[in-house]
Amino acid sequence: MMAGFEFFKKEMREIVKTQKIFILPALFLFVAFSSPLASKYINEILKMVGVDATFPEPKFTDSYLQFFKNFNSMCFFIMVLSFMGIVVDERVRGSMVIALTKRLSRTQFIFSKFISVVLFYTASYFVSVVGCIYYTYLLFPNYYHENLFLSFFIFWIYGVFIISVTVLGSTISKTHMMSGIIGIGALLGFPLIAMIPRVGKYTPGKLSELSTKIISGTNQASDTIIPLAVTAIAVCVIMFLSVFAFKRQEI
Amino acid sequence: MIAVETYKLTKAFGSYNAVDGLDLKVPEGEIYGFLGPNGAGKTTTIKMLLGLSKPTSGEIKICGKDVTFGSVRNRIDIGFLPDVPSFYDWMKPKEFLMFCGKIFSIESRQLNEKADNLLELVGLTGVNKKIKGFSRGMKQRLGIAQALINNPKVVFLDEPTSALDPIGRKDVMDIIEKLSGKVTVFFSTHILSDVERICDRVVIIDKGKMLIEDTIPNLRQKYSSHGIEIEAEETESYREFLTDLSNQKWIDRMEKTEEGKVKVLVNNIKDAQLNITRMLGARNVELRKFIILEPSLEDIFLKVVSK
Repeated sequence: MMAGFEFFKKEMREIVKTQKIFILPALFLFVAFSSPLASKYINEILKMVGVDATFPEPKFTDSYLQFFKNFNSMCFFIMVLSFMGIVVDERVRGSMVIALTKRLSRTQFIFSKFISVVLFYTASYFVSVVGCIYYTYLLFPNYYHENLFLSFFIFWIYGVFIISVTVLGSTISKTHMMSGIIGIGALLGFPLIAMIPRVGKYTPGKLSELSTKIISGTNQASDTIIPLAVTAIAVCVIMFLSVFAFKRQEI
Repeated sequence: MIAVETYKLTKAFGSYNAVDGLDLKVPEGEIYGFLGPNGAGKTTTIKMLLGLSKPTSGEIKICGKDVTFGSVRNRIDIGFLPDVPSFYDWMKPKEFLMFCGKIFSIESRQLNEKADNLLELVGLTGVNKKIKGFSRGMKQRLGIAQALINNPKVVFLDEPTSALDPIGRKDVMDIIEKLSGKVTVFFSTHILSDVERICDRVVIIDKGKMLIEDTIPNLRQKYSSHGIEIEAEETESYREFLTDLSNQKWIDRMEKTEEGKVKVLVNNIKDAQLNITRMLGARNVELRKFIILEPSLEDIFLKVVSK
């Protein structure tokens, strides 16, 4: 247990020492601040760049919808790129061998990495959510919606799911590039799977869509229950598969 | 007591046996040379001994405990240095040793002292820069320190000097020599002079099979080719002496190496010593050198591997 905790501490320190501590939070905060601004001043921005189009008067919910849209396209992409080498890099470099010939089990190795990334993502995400709500509060007459926190929560869960897929990709890959292809492929593929009639609405990819739809009113909060449960189970299964695959690998 | 023991250890990759029925018995406290040409199966064997690779068949025991693939049970008894060690480059040497020690749950004060002692042993005391800036030799020395952090009973060193320059090699060999008698060292290499210098016992493997295992003095005795090197002024009497010599029954082979210098392989060293000195005296040869040649480990290795 102690070995796993010490390795987890190493992972957290590595995030700080390798500058990841600046990259993700900076990007998350940029999205947090730019989304309410872009929503509020969309018409002015369009006028400035010479586009002759006028959008309806922006509402505070547009700020959150823009946040989820930007987060989905930018932040998760950069997050996958930042962490796609989390396991495979140690294998390729050879540092894994030294750690695994100490009293560190393979399960501890994988979970330490997963938990450290989830914690880092959660902290960065929390700061960006606070930033986004605060800017919405400053720019719009209203900022609260009854499904606001559920919306942020299901989006967070979707991020955890993406991290678990990234860890699995990195565990089963022999090269950094292969790991990246799996991670980015999953990021692009799961929203497509969510479009499959009948079953798609229960898949993890649906969560990112639901986070906007329960704010815009297209869907009810209750619609999130099944995909939330499926995603939580999927995270557990994917982590189990990561450990299972890693335990079978010869290093 | 036996520190490392394998029984019919085999590792197959498809139809090719990288390790083929290897039986090893490494006595406790010895520096054990694990020799073989490139591709002989040394690293594959070490990985199985460490539980990093799954044997196709066979058994492994370290300090009496069974080794199973992936298990952490034996880790407290072992230390390992790979051929090209890789660390977390952003750490400093002491920080890395502290990290390794904490994985073994070593108490902080004891660990701090241990890390300082090990840094002193490997000559890295006071080095406070990130591992990123280390030379290969420094990394290898830090690698030895991390392998010893848990006071292991057996240390596996996989070709620790193969990537080093002569100075780095000497530094690493000096450190390994200091471990003699304190810990069992399982030392894999293909650099024979390193083995000759520090190992108590060697095993030579090729194509995954054990060819021979013994102490170096015993190997020398077994594989001694009884050579004598003679060097003298290149005169008429010396040439006559060489002609006489080539007709002796106890001569196996004669080889002129340089001007005035011959290497003679004999089948009876005692007869040869007595007769050659007598013959040299009889021909009034002005002798410069007369050396009884000890077979080098390289000679033995080549003989065993090419059999």
